[in-house]
Amino acid sequence: MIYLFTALYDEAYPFLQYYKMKKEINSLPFEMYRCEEQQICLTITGTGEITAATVVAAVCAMGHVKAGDIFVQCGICAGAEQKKGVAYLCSKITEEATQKTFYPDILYRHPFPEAAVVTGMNVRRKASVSEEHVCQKADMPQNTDTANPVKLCDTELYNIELYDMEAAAGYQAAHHFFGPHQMFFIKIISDNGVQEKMSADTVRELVQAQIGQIAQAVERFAAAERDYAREQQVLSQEEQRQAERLSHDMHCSAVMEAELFQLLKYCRLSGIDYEDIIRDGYAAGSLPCKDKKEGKRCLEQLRKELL
Amino acid sequence: MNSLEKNCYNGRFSHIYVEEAVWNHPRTQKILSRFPQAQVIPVHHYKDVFCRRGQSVVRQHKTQNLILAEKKNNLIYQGAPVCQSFGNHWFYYTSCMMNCIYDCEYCYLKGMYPSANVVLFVNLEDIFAEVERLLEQHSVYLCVSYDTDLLAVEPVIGYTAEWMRFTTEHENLTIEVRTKSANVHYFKQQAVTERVIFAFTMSPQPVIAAYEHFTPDMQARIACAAEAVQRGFSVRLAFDPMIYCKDWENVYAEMLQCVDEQIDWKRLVDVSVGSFRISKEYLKNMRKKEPHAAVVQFPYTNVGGVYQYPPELLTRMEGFLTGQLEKRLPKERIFLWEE
Repeated sequence: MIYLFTALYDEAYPFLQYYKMKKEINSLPFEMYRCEEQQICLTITGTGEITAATVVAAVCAMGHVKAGDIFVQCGICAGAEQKKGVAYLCSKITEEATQKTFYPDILYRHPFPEAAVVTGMNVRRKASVSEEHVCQKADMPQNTDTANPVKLCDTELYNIELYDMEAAAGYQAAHHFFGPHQMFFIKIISDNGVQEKMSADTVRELVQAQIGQIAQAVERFAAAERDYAREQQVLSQEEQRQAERLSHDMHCSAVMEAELFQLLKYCRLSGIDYEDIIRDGYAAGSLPCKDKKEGKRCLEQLRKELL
Repeated sequence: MNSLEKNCYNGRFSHIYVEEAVWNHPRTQKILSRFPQAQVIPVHHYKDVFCRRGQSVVRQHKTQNLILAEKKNNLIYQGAPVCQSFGNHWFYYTSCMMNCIYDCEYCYLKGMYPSANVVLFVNLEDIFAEVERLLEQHSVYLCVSYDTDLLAVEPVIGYTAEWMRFTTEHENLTIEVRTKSANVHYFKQQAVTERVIFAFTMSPQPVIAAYEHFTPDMQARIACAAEAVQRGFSVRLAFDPMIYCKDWENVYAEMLQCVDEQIDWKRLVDVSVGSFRISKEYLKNMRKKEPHAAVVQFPYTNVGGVYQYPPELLTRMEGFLTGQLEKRLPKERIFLWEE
């Protein structure tokens, strides 16, 4: 499942159209949409850190998040005027109020430029994010002027590459449920500090212009995670049931059961065929065991035969 | 939705995290200049990236990132009980780099560290200063490539050469550089320093193929060790960890025969033997992170908090290998790990 979050309905609108998503009927105080076919759940959090964290946590805590799912937060942000309309994948998130930093892992290839984002509580006004504040990252490794070094660590210089109001909150809420490699923050520059309220159409157009690229990338991230999660299963459901039956028939204690499952898992991974030996055990009458003592002997015998 | 292909991952060191404090360090600048395409991300402290919760070590290994940092406190550690001291009383190790570009499924680093990203401490001179303080008190035997493989990344960081130069300048210092690399070129370039022991970890080819991803094959390792011996370097062969596999006796015997063909055993400093063993906590982490690694999922026996092969198997494995080695080397030059 792709858990997609936007702050505004107008940021969500292009996704709702693209995936033909349906609104969920529920009693929750926020809007949720689903596309079962593509396994996407989109939630509109509202703007600001607290509401973003609250809604992300509420959705994740419903208990449906499982291995192979991903978290995506997408929306507009402030940035350099000349980059308006560009979609970025965030590699660093700084919470302005606390100066805490968060780093989503960017393991997969993707089509976006990467940037650092600062999350603040207030709407960024025009004077705050000016072009000269945007650090030219390509220049950084070449800077060897020790007399006048670029102050890379100065938040006024580096970190205000992008400015939004939800990313740090989303990360902090979601990281209880997702690993850093499962979290993706995609931000589209809409302005370099707003003077007046942005129109709904402008927001929709900015996201709409990127929707194809974003959807394709997100689907690829999700496919990679899902494939990996699927590969993690060592014993099939049928094999797991057989192992549980064997444990029962050996009168295994919790410790014995863990040892038995470990042995079977190793055999499966090493290509050692254990099924015939167990079948022979049943045929010869040594299984099921009479009691735990006999089960212990049987487990030891099995270990000797398999290793 | 289409599944991603295997090449969906970013390349190695596509992202380089740099601690603010070392940005202007010459080594930082030199290393960054080697990766002009990398995304460079400033961090306050390397642990902000390295110690994040929920990292996928297995997948990070497919696209390792680099973290450049400053090492503070604990620059030198006393040797751990599970490590072979080779009879050295003043036995220490240091971590000027954390994690390894090789991806061995059984490696304890996977159980010890929360991340597969490589941390390189650029303030090597501070570690040298700490060693000099110890040397004022007594001689030192120092392992410099324990939690990593320095020789494998020598073309990028050049730390092995720096350690060799430092060792040459300090008479009562002996260092060990443990490696699985086959960096023959290095030995052709460097002058011999006897007090630098290159310990080549030797594994049979089936073990390398199954569990030691991205490492040079057995023949390449043996050839590299042979070149080092030939040129007069001090060489140790580490048959440690010994890994159980199908037909292990023949597999290990064949490996020794390959060594016979290229290396004069008498010219080795010594050899070490030890079957795989690991602390309970590390194995627990590794089993969770690597559900598909047979070598990690083996039903080991817990002996005093250390997981190892069942006693009977362990005795057979180590006994077999030491027996074979005793045909080639005097007993006193065979070091068997014992708790």
